[in-house]
Amino acid sequence: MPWLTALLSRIHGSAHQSAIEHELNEELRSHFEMLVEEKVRRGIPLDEAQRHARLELGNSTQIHEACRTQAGIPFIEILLQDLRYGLRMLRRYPGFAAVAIVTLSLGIGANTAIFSIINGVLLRPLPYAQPEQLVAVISTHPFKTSGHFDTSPPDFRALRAQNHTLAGLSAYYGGSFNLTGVDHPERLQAFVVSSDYFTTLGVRPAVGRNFSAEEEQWGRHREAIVTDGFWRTHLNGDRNLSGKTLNLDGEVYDVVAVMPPWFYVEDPVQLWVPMAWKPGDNLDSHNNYFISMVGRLRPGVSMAQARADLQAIMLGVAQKFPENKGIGADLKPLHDDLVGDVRPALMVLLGAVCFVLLIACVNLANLLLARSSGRLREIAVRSALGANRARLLRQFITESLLLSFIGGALGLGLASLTLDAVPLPADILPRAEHVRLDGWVLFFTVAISALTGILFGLMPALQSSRSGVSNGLREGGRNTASAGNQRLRSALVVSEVALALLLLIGSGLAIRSFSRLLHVNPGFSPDHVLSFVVSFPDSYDPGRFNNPLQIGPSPRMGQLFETLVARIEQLPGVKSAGLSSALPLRGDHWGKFFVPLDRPAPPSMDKLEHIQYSAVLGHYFQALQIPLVSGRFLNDHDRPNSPFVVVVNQTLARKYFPGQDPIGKTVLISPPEELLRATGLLPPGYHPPKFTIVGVVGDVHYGGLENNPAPLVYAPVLQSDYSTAPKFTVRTDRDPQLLTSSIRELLKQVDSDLPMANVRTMDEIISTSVAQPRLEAVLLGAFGGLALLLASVGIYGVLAYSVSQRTSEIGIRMALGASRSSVLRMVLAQGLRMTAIGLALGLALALTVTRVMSGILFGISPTDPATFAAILLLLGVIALLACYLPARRATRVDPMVALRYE
Amino acid sequence: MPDNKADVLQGTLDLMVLKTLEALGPLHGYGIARRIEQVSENLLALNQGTLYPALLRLQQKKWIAAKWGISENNRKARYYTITSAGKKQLARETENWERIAAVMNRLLEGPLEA
Repeated sequence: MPWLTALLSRIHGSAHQSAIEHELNEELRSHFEMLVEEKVRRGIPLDEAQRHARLELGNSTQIHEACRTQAGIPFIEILLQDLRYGLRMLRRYPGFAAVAIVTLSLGIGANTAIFSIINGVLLRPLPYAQPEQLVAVISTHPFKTSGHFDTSPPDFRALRAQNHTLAGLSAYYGGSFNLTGVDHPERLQAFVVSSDYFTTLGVRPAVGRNFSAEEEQWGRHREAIVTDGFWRTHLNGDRNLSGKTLNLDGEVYDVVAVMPPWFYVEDPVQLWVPMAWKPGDNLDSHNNYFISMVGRLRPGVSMAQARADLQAIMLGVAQKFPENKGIGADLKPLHDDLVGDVRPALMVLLGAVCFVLLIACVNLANLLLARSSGRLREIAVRSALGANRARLLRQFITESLLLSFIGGALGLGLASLTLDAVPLPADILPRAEHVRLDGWVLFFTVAISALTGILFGLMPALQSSRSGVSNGLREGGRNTASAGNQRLRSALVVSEVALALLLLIGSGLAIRSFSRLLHVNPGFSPDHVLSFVVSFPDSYDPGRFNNPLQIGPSPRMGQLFETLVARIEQLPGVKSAGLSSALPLRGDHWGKFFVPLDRPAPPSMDKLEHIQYSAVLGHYFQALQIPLVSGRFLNDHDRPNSPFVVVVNQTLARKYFPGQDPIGKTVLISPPEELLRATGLLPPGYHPPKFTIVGVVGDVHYGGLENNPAPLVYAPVLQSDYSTAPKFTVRTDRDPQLLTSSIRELLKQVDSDLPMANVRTMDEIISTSVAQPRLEAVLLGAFGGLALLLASVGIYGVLAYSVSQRTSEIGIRMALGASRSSVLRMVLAQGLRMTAIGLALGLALALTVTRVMSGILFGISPTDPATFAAILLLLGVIALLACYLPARRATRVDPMVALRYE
Repeated sequence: MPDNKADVLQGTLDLMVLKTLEALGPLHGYGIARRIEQVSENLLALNQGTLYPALLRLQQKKWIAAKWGISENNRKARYYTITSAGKKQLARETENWERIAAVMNRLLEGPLEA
């Protein structure tokens, strides 16, 4: 391979350049002397011989040059030469260098940061075996049109057993357990999973064994698999798991495995337990939908095939169980399911940072163009000495790339610092733990630095290299090159203004959307309210599952609830306390049927109405200051042997009792007895209780602020289905956090096995619920501000430079009688012309582009006229200011001075 | 094999150098230039300086090797020798030239034989 040996020789040659030059010199001298000797021998006189010899041998410099090119690696040597030159240039103009590098590091750094987020969240595949085969399987309901739908346990089992398109289908749902038998009882978050959960995902435990199928049977299910983190903190990281147990909700579970540290699911769970149902457990029925499923496609099976397969199975189920009528199945890639919600917002952010970088490039291109007129002489000399256009072009581009790579390196550092310092909120950003600066991000930074350098360097380089010899050596202030230069720079500023307008409109929209969100009335007063959850193990109320005739909690449980609420209310600083099954803004929802008894009953199960439900006890409404519209609140007179009553919200009242007073009407919150009997699901001796509406309260947002409240019915805990993990709400007269420890003490006194969990103030909960829109508003606002700064600097720069170029022209005008104000007008007109064109372009751009934001805007249209008008005004005024300063300087030109320095 | 059309002239110079070294044994740069001039009967009055980049190129491809030595006039000079790889290359190139020459001959004589 002669080319390889040649290359290696060249590498060797470039390393030993001076030695080679020295040898060549000696060789040439020896050649020369031999040539002279021969000529002398032939009779030619010495000095003539020498002259002839010199001519015959040729130009020594050229020989050296030719050999140098042959001997080394010219590409790299020229590159090094250009780099050295570029560094010298930077040192000569440190101001320019500083501005350029800072601008670049901000622009490239922002892009790197956003890209690393996008890489971690959207681009990286899930850390499971063959993740592209993994799908989230969901149920589809006829009355729900969006969102993630959960499944019922029997539906899951049917799908698992009967499908032929999936290599595995597993189910999971979130639960919590009270860990007792340790110093401080703790509430642990867990996933209750089917036995094939880990095998479906393709993950094996780091220590121990996977669940097996028998563990789905009640009685064999008391085993747990823990996370690596939990294993280290609670089990001492002991690899020998035999005999290790956990006391969960009063039952003993064996720890059988530990998952590897990198195995992470999107929720912060600490352990997994098998899914098992006690025979007769009401949860294991077609009425309860709360299970999520994840499956793996068989190799070669498409999503469409699997979808059809699962749909067919669900149809079969609906035929056997009429309450399943209309319920189907669907699937989507697991990755989409996890991150799909956040993709639009991330894309908008990426667009924004790209625009900021573009604007920065335009500014830099302008700066370089301005400087290029200062380098005309240098270019002329180099051209005269033999540099061709390509060589000059290469030099200029190398200088730009030098700038952009330095800026890029600093930007990478900035991005890294920012990502370390600002922890990414895991509740806004799924897969936040995968965000880091890895090889791909590095590659992206390098690529974007190179692209940026070429982008802002190309045009000035082309301009400069074209100027040739005569331009630079000519005397006189004006020349043809600078006129074209000026037009180019103006065009660049126009584009800058357009981009800045676009970006500012985007930030304006995001900020207004966020403020609209904040102004939504949540329906309650969040100040001075503390909330926490206490979860009660099943052992506290075994009758809940065993006894279908039991209504409400067991006496022991009911007693416990009332005692806790009453004693909390007695604590100093507490004004009122209550508990409920749903907390506002948390997306908790519990659905129930709703059958008003003042009209004919629906003929079949699938025609039943669905509403939201919450079970409350104590002074829940007062604690949150939910307004009473009519009637009364629920109170502790509503007990098992009092008349059964409910309170409804305004949305429900308007929907089902329009124009009437709902107070006094009787309703059912379960299917009517006849319908239940027809399905064979009626437990013997059970009569669904009738409730009387005794009050109407104001609507509360139980979902996000951007969703409309749904119709909801509140029932007293003691008279109806209740939650074993109720949320306590406590209104205080001082900082709510101060009461946390006294409440915890109280809880311990009442029952030492009950941990207090999820302690938060309602203010925090509201703040968290709008965290994503807030982040978007902040980031977009920052980018918009940056764009505004860059654009105004750009306008100012171009205009100021133009004025300095036209100094003599202005001098002449003034000498000929032009007033200062007409000069002012002339310069302003030039600047405003640029701005106006830019604004018009930007407006057109914005009208088409902002609609990509419609996914993340709330309460405001992407083409909201008020926002557009306000931003146009803002940018217009700032641009006017940027034009005014150079214009004023123009009026100060002293004609005598200007003319003298023609 | 010449690398591209632009290197054809380079290629012929390379061939001449290799042939010279093979025929005459180790020689310094001046001697090679003299010999090529003689053999071509001064038809190829090459600028002697162009020899040196060519010699460098041949060294890089390891077809010739260089060593400092003493000339017949007691002068320090750099002597070049052809390597075995160089000899193989020479044989290849020679065969190539002869093939081209034969084809050209046939082509040019062809019509006469019709």
